[in-house]
Amino acid sequence: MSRITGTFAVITSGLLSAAPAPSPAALEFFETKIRPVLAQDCYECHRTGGKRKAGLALDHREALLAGGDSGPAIVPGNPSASLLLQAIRHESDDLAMPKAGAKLEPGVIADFEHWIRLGAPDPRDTSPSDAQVAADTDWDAVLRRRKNWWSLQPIVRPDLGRLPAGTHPVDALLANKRRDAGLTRAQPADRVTLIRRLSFALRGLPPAPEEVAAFVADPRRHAYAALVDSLLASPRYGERWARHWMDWVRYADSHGSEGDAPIPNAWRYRDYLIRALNTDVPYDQLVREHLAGDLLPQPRLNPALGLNESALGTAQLRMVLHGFAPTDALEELVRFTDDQINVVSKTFLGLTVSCARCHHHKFDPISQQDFSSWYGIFTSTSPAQITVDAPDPAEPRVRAEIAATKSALRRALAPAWSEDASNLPARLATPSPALGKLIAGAKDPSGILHPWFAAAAPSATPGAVAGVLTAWRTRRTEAAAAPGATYPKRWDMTRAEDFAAWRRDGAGATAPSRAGEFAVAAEGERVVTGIYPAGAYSHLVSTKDRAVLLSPRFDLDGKYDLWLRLAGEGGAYARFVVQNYPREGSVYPVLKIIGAQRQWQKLALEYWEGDRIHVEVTTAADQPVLADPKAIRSWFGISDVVVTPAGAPPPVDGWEFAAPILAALADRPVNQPAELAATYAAAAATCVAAWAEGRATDAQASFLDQLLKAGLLRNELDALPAVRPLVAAYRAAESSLRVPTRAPGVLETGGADAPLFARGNHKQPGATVPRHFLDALDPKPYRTTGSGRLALAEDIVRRDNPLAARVIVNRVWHHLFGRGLVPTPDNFGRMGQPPSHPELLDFLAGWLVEHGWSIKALIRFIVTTETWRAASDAPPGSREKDPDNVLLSHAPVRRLEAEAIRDALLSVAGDLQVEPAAGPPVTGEVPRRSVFLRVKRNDLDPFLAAFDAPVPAGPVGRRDVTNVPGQSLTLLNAPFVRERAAHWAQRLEAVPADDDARITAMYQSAFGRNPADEERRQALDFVARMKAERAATAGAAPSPWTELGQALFNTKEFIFLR
Amino acid sequence: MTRRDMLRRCSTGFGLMALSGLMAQKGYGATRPAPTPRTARARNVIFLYMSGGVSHLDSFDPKPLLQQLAGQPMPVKVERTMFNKNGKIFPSPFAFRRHGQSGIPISSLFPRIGAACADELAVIRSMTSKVNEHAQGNYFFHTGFPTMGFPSAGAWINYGLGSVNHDLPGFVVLQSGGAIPPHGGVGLYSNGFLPAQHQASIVVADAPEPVANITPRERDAIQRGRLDFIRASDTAFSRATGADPQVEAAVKNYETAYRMQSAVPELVALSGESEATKKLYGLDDPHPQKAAYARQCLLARRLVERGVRFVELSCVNEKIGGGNAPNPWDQHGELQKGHAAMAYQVDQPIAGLLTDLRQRGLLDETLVIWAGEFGRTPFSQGTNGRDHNPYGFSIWLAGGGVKGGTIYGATDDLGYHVVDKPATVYDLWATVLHQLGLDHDRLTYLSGGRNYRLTDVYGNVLHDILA
Repeated sequence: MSRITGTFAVITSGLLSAAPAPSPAALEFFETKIRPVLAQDCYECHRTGGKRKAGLALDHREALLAGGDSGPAIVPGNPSASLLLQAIRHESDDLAMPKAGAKLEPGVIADFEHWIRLGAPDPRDTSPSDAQVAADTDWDAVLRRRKNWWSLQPIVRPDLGRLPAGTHPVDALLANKRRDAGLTRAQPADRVTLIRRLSFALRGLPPAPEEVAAFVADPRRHAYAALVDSLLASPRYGERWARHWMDWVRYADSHGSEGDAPIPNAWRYRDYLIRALNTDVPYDQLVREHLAGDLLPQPRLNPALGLNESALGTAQLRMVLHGFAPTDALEELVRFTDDQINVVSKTFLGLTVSCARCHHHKFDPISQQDFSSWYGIFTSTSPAQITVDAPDPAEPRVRAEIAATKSALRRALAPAWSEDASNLPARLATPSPALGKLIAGAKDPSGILHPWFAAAAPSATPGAVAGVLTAWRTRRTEAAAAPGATYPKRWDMTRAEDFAAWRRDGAGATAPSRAGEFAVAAEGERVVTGIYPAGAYSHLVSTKDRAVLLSPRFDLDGKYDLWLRLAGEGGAYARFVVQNYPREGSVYPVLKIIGAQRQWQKLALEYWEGDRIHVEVTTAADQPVLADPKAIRSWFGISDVVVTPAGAPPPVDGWEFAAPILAALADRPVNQPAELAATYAAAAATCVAAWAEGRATDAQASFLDQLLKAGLLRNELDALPAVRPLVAAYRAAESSLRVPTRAPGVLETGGADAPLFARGNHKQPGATVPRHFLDALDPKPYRTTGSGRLALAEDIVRRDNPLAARVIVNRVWHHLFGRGLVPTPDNFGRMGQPPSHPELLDFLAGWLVEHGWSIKALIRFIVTTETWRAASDAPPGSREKDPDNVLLSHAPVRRLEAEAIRDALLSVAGDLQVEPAAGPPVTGEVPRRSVFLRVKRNDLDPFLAAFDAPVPAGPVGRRDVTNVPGQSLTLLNAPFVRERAAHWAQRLEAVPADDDARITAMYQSAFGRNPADEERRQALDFVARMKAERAATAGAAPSPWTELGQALFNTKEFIFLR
Repeated sequence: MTRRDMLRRCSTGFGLMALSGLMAQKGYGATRPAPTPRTARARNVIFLYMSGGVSHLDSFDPKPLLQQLAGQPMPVKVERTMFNKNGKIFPSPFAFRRHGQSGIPISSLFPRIGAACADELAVIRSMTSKVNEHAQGNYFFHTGFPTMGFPSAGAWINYGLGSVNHDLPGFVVLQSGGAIPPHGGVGLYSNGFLPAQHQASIVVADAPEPVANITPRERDAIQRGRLDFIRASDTAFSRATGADPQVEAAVKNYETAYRMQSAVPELVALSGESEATKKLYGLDDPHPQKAAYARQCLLARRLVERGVRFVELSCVNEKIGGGNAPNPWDQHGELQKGHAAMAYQVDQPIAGLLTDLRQRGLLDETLVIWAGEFGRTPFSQGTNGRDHNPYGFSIWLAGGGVKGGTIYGATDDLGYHVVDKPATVYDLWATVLHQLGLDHDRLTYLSGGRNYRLTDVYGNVLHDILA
C-alpha cells in the first residue's frame, strides 16, 4: 500500500516540479516553515560557494534536488525516500543532522515531511546573496522561531473531564498514556515496602522497626495519609530535601583550586535550606531569596534564632569556584560570574544562559545580550560576608543609651583630666617608674615623650630638646605643603561626601566621626582605649560591630601606589580588590591592620595597570574569603585614601600631636625638658577644655591620645571613682549588643550595564547591554539604580513565566520517581529531552502555583497517587513495551543516594546522632547525617564520592548512578562500614536473646521486614559458621553478629529501594 | 527488552560500560563513544607529569643568548608573573650537549635520558598554556579546562577505547614516596561528567594498602563465606525486583571487587621482576625519592603490559626552593639545587622505563608523555629562582608512533615566548588521541546541554612529530 502511495507521490511530484508555479499556500508554507530552518540550521555547512560539506548545498532548488555525494537530498513527494528527512530524523548515526547540534523539534521535522510530500515547492531559483542569508539568519528571526519551543509556551491546564470519585488527577493523566500503550499498572505495594520507600523519599532514612509495625497495624482508612503527614513533619525531612537543593546550587564549603580556601560560614546557608524546607517556605519566596534575599522590602525574619532568613539565600551566589592568584583577574571575574549565571539559569529556569557567553545560543532562544545582561547584574555586586541578623527592636535604644553614656563619660572625665593637666610639670619632673620606662623607650620622634628621651640620651647635647622641636616644626611644615588635591585620586574619609561615595555595610560603618571621639574599653581596668582624630572608626559604639567599606571602582590607567591612613586592632583588614577577586595570593596582597596609632600604609598597584579595582577595609570577620569566623572583636579607623603615581613621595604623616605643643610654645625657645613640661600643661588644659565641649581638633585629639597612652591622663577605674558607674553602664549596654551573625553574600555596588564581549573575549569589550530578564521572555531594560537582582528574581517567579513552576515540579518529581517527567531537570532547552507527559507537567505546574508554591503540598500530592504507591513488579508487557518504565506502570527500582546509604548505615547501627541538626560542618568519621559533612572541593568525602555524590562544579539536578568496584570494596572493607557493623553487634549483644530473635531484629532494622524462612535458615547457618570460626581462632575472629551485620550491609536490598 | 538484552546491559566490570553509565547517558540524548579505532598507532599512554613546572631553559631548550645577557634587565616587555619578584636575566647553570644520532640538545640534568633515549624523543619546544597558576594549569593540562568538573584525559581515553583488563581499572594514577596529587587535588583524575568507571584509581605503590579498601579485613574463608551469604540474599532480592538490571549489575560488581583484591597486590609486589630489571630503573638507589619514583616507572610498565590504557606518574617531593609535595618542580628559589635533585630523581627511572619498554617491544604501542604545567622564566625570581612561564616551554613524547629525534617549534632567543609553530595543550591531546586511533573532534560527550571534548573547540594533530 505504501509502495503504491509512494509511486503515486513521485508521479505527482514530477508533475509538480514540472509545473513552475506552486500554489500560494504551498509557497507560504515554504517561506514560513522551511526557508528559515534551512537558512538557520543548514546553510552554515551547506551553501553554494560556502563549505558545501559532502558536496551538498541546500540554498536553492536546483542544488537541493541535485543533492551531494550521497545522492539527491530529497525525492519530492516521497518523504521516506528523502535522505534529508532521514538525516534530520537521525535515522542512522552516521547521517544525523544538523551535525553536532540538537535534533530539530518534532514539529519542524513534521513540517519537512509535509513539505516533501507536497512536492517540495521551492521558489529559490538561485543561491541567495549574502544579504539575503543575513536576513534569513538574522538573530531576531531565529529568536522568533526558537521562542516556539515547548518549554517557553504558557502553561495550559489539561481538561481532566469528570474524574470518577477518588481518582487522583495525576493518576488519571498517567493512566491515559499507559492505556494508549496498552499497559496496566502494578498492584499496590505492600505496607512494609511502602513505608520503606516513603521513609527514604521523605526523610532519607530507613523506617524504625516500630514505625513499620505501627503502620502495618494501623487500621485507619487514612493510615497512609497520616504517615505521609508525620514524615513531612519530621525535622529529618528538611535535611533530606536540603541536600537535593544543595546539588542544584553546587553547595561547597571551599572555593577549590590551589589552597582551596574555605568559604567562611557557608554552612549557614545549608541550615537555612533545612529550616526553609521544614517550615515549607513557598518556593517562589525561596527563589527571590536566592537572588536578592538581602534586598527584599519585607524579609522573612526568624524571631527564635534572631535571623533574617531571606538574606541567607544569597549565599548560593558565593559557592563559585575561585582560581588561585590569577594573573588575568578579569578573566577570573568573567569565569566566576559565568558560574553564577550557569547555576541561576539552570536551577531556576532550566536554561543554559552561560552557553551564550561567546555567541548567541546555538540551539535555544538565548542571545549573547542575555548573557551580558546577567553579567551586568551579578557584577554590580561585590562578594562579602553580610549580616543576617533580624533587626533587634531593642538595639536602637541600646545604641542611644551608649551614646548618652559616652557623653556623660566625657563630662565626667573632663574635670579629672583638667586636674591631670595642671599636674603635668610635677609628673614629668619626677617620673613614676612606669613613666620612666616609657620615656626610656621613646626612641620614635613622633611621640610626646621623645624630648625627655633625647635629653636623657648619653650623647645628648644641650640643644637636644630644641632639636626635637625643630624636627616637629619641620614635619608640620612639610605636611602642610603636601600636594593634597593634586593626587590622582583621594578620599578624605573625614568628609561626609567622600565617605558617602563608598559602599558601607555594618553598624560600625555608618558615618565619619569628628575629632575627639573616643572608644571605651569593653573590659578590664582601663576606661578609654583611644581618643581619635576625625575619620571613619568602626568601634565607637562597640568592637563587636562589623564594618565594611568599599571604595568606588576605578580603572588603573597607569602605574600607581595606594596609600591608606589606618589604625586598627584585632585582625581588621585593608586591601585593594582587583576585578572583584576575593581571595588573597602572591599578587593579591592584604594588609592586616596592626596598631592603634594611625599610620600611612602602602600597597603597590603597578602590577595591575589596566585593571579595575576598588579598595576594601573590613573588620576581622568580614572579609569575603579571608574572614576569621571566630573573630569577635576587632576595629579599624581610616581617615585618608590616596592614589599616587608609582614611586611618588609618600603622603606625609604630619605629626598632629605636636601642633598643640608648638602652638602653646609660640616661638619661645626651649632648652630644658622642664620648660617643655609647663608648655605641655598649658596645651593639655586647652585641649581638655576643647574636648569637653566637643570641639577638639585632630591635633588636639592626637595630643590627648598620647597623653592618655603615656599615663599622663588618668584612665584607671580605681583612679576615677566618679566615672566607674558610667563605665559599668556602658559595659552593661555593650554586652547586650549581639555579635553579628555573618554569612556569605554579596553587597550592592551600584548598578552598571556590562559590555558584550566579542566572541566571549573579555579583552574585547563592545557596546554595553542594558540589564534585562531574557530577550525571549521580556527584553525590557531594568529601571533600577541597584544591580537588578531583585527585578530578575521577580521576573523568574512571575506568573507569565512558565519555566519556574515547570522546572521545580519536575525536580520534585525526579527525586520522588528517580526520573523527571523531563529527564534532563537542568535543561528544558533543545539539548534537553522533552517531557514524557507534557499535560501532567503543566497540570502539576499550575497546581503548585495554585497551592501557594508549597513544596510539601506538592510532595504530599504526588506520593498519595496510586502510581507512586504501586509495587515495583512490572505488569505483563511493560518490560517489552516500555523497558525504561517511562509510563510508570510500576514503581522504579532505585539505588539509594550516597547520603542515604551512609545515613542508613549509621541509623541501623544505632550510631546516628541527629543532634545537633545544624552548625559548622564535620568530617566523615563523625556519626552525623551526611548533609552536615564538610564539602571541601579538593578533598571530597571518599565514601560519598564513591556512591556518586556530585562534584560541586555546577548544578546537578540528576545524579549519576554508577556501578564501580570501588563501591563494593567500600562496603566490604572500609573501616567506617566495619565499625558500624561492630557497633550494631555490640548493641544487639548487650541484650540477651537467642540467635533466632537477633536475626529477626537485624532484618527488621536493616530492611523493615522479617526474614523469610529460607533467609532465616541461611542466616542461622552463617552465624553458626562464624561462631565456629571464632571458637577455632580462640576468639580472635570478630563477633558473628558483626559479620552478619556487615553481610547485611552488603546486600543489594540494603542499598536499593523497591 | 529481551532477557538477552538485559544480560548484556547487566555486564559490568571495567571492560564494558556499566549499565548505570548507559542509563545516565541515555538521559542526555544519543551520545556514544567514538567508533572503534581503525588507525591506532598506540594502545596505551604513560603520562610522566612533572608537577610544579620544569624549566625548559634548563632541560630541553638551550638559550646561549642568556649567557651573554646574564644579569641584565629583560630587553622585552615582561608579562605579569605569579610572584612579581622579577630579577635579571638568569642563564642556565646546566650545560647542554647533543645526544644520539639526532643530536638533540639535552642539559646535564638528564644524562641517562640523553644517553639512552635521545633518538626516541620528539621534543616540543613551543608548548603554551593559558594559565599561569598551578591548580588551574594542572586542570587545564589534564582536562582542557582550567577548573574542576571536567574529565581527565585518562578518563576520555578510557571512555573512547574501553579497557581490556576486567580486573584492573583502565586509568591508574601511581604514587609513592609520599607523593600526593598536584594542586587541584584528586579532581585532576576525575571522570567529570563521563561515566564513573572511567575515573582514575590511585595506586600507592609503596603503601600497605595500595588502593583504598582493597585489603580484605578477614581471612579469605570468612570473606568467601560472607560473599556466599550476600549472594544468596541478593538472588532473592533480585528475583523480587524482577531481575532489575541495575541490581544484577551491582551483584556482578562484587566479583570484580573480589578479583581486584588479589590482582592489585600481585601487581604492586613486582613479583617476577628480575634484580637486573629493578636495577635498570634505579629501584636499588640509596636516594629514597629516586627509588620511589623508579618503583612507579616499573609499575607503569607492568600496568601497560596488563592492558591498562592510561597511567599517570607522580613526582616525589624534594622540598627545595618553593617545591612542595603538590608541586615539587616549583623552584621559585634555589633552581639549580632543586632542579638537580628533581632530575636526579626521575632521570634514571625514566630512561630505564623507555629502555625496558623498547626491549620488550612495548614502546611502539606505548605513548610516553613528559610534561609539566608550564615552563619557567628566563629572568630570575629573586636571585636564584625562576617564576612560571606559560608562554613557551618544552615537553616531549616518545614511543607510540612518534617520530623520535625530532624537535618541534621554537621559543624566542630568550626562551620567553613561542615564535615558531605554537602548540597548545589541545594540540597535544589531539595528537595523543590521534595516535590511539581516536578523532578528537568526534570524541564528544553531551553534558549540561553542550557537547564537550577533551580539546574543547580547538586542537590540531601535530603531524610533524609523528612517524
